[in-house]
Amino acid sequence: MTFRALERRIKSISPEASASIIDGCVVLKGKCKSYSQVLECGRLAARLHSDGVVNDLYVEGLESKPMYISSIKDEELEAKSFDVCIIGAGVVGCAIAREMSRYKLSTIVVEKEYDVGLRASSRNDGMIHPGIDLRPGQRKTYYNARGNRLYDQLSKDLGFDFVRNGSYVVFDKAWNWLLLPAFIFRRIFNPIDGIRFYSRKKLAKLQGSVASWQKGAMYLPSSGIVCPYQVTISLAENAYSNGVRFSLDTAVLGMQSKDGEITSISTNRGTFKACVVINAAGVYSDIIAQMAGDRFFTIHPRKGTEAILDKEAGYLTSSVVAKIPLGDVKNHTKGGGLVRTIDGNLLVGPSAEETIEREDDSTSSSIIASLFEKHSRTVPALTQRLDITYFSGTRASTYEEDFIVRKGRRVSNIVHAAGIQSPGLTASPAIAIDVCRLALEILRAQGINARPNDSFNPKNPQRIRPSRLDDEQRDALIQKDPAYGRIVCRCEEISEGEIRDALTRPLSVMNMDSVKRRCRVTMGRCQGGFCTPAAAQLISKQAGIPMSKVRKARGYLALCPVKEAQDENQEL
Amino acid sequence: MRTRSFDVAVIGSGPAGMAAAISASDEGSSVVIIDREGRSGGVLKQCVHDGFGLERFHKRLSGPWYAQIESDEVSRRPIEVHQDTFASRIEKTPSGFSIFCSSPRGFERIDCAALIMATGCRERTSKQIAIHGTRPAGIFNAGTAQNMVNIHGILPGRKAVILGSGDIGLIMARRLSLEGCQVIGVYEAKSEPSGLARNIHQCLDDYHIPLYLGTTVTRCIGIERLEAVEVAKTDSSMHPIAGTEQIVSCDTLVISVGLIAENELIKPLGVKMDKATSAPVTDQYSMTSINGLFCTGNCRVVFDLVDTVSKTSMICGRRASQIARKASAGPAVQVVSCTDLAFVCPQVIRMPAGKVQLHFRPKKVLRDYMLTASQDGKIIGQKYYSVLRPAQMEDIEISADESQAEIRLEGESR
Repeated sequence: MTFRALERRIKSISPEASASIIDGCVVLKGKCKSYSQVLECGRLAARLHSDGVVNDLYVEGLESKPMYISSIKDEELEAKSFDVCIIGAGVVGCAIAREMSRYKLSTIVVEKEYDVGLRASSRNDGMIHPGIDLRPGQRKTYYNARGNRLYDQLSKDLGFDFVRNGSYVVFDKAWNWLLLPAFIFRRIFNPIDGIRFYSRKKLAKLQGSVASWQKGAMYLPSSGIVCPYQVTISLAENAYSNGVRFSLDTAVLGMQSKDGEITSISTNRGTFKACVVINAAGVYSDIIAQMAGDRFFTIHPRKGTEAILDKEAGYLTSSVVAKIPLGDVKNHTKGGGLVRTIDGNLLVGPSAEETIEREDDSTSSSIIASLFEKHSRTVPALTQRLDITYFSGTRASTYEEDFIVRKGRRVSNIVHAAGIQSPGLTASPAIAIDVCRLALEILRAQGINARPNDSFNPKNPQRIRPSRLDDEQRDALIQKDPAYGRIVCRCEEISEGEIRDALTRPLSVMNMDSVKRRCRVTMGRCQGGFCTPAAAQLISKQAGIPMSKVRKARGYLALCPVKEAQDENQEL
Repeated sequence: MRTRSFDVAVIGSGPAGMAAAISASDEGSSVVIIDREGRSGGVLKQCVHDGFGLERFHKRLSGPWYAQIESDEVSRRPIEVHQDTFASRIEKTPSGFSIFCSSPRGFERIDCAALIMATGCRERTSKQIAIHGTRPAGIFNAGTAQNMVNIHGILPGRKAVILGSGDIGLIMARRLSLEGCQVIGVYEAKSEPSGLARNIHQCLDDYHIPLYLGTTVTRCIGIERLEAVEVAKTDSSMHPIAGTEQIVSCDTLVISVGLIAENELIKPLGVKMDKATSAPVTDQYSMTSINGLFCTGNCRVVFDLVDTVSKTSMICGRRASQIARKASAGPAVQVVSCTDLAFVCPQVIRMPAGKVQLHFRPKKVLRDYMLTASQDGKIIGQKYYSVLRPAQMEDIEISADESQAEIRLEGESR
């Protein structure tokens, strides 16, 4: 498409919108009648293959909620100085932090939330993608393939759970077999390790059963599953142990620059200096780029919702089952499917809805109903009765629908790791290696030669899970430390010892949800109905605070001690 | 790994487990109770309100008091009680069952000839009844809120909405009011209250707490702490009606929307389940489809009164002791329920039975109702009810000792 054609089409969508080319990027300005028009214009602009799409179109009266900023305000970081500042402690930011910790540098990660990995990094299905549905030539494809191969070693070093359980892409029509040559051809450009094709008969043998619509399948052995927040936390723990500083509840509010270089960063916890800034801010990465004076892309948030089923439902499938993703390519989902999580639950989803809100995690009954309707076509035995909970997250998608991993265009000391949506979890270890290399280049240009960190330890302290040991080992462990014998969370069989460990590991955060993500307490079928008070008591003991001051996540679990309320009543 | 062996093992030391253990011990068996908590009593420990024991002791006891009576009885007998002990898995053996337990003392195996499950039930969660929106702090199951207030002395919030008019919801409405929390109202999706009539009077009316029938909570609003909930009117199938939504400001939502019998430990043994109770099929002695495996108390069927739990569990304990000593279970006949009833428990009767109580709930309110039990066309039990409500469990006594034909229940409103 030519620029003239783009201008014409934008005008036809919204007469009050206009397009221009500024510094190699398409810039869209003006007004639209609806948000879908804004999206349509953005997508058209991406077809121009410019250096980026800056979509500033707006809809009158339609405004997103402001970013959540912690109420904490102090001078913790005031006038401090760092070699590297990473903005965002998602899986990308934490993977970069760990790579940076291999060098003798002062590195800080700033995160606006109370814990690491809270946004998209914990709100996804945990699939390590084989990359079958990715287009050759995209950065996504490149980083996915590299990242996928890094997971075996990473899981060994950091001690997170990882299983390469393979996935099936099922052909639902016999004519799908005709696509076989296309897939084989595509493999030349987009290598997928170990891909195999199975007939209906073979599929039935492997899976135990086969639905009538299943005509055959592609088997992708390189696909795997992890627990996404466990990966993020593990990366952060390791980076922290190797000297990276994490400043949580810290939101970047502005940046000061001079001659195309960022000189300082302002947050709710003080203004500080950093030689290199790394933008791993997820759904807010375009806003960070804007603050730096280096915006050449636009994030249009895309919300996804998944339902989590009881472990009892795990029998429905032993690995990932998805229909051939032909029809879904246009909708930018990965086709979705039933994913068995590393902990044995079954995920149903995800959905994909464009939204103006960058951090709206609310769920709705209509979306859940549509997920079940869609996936019961693949697995007829699927029922909403087995649903124990659900969650939503927002993907940080750009109009180019590809990752951005590069130095700044106009700012000399920034590296962007932006637009990381699916398969960002798979890709993050590979992205981190490249971002770290780019950051070192910038430092070198500033005269800073980073030396390797000789005391770098790639390994995390071991996680102890008594319920995974055999009976004799488990008994021996309890004899040594009785806390591993006292079970607090009965659904997930989590002991007091594991909760204590979660509270004393590097970078531990003393609230209910953070402990939950570190050891699975309250994550079972009763959803904390029985163990919430007991877990809160352990936190209160460890943190040295009264139980009424224990937080769930951002807010307090309970509002006051009973005694206090009674006293107030007396006064009345 | 330590291994111990007993005639009868009981999992759970609530009222059901303790009653079963007492009667099994009195019948001459060696008995062990395995309890995951530090103290016996189960959920009764946190039920500080009164009304327990009215039928059995003709007194209005508090929950902890009732539990103490039972646990004193246990301690007078040669019953081993393993507290802080969690049954991790159960295996079937040729001579009975092996229970693998985790406790601060170690991981051990307990072998038994007969096994009594008295594991109670858990509450349905907000997610299971499709409450959507955000998920800030301040959303609790009624039992969790009760535990926080009565055991830990912390108040969940200052301004609460209660969803569900089941007994726990009603009791929590009163409890929270007494402790200085403003209860804005109790919302119930059904058109009838789910709790006992006496609790509506004593817990809501006496405290001027409004009850909104045919209204449910559909959405939670709030970023850090709950700020409000959206409520909506419901249709006859309990689905929210679009356009009737209202926002109610509150900082706490307490959910009391039903109980689920906890039988996850024995499901892998292949025990036969009853869809109507979502619990194992049991006979009049609370024995499941697996010989020697019993399931009593609220994990068998959710009872209204602890008195009934104790009574049925004592029958269970006695029988478990006999089965442990190789008594024959006897031939089973099916109890076939009628369409008016939500469930009937027991679902099978072992012959010869003699007099047996069948427990049931109606699906909806029935008035002027005559229920008849028959076998081979012969009436073996009949009872008249002026009114039957789903909120109230009822029973009928039958007397069956001859025929091997199935027992049919039929009823009609007159």
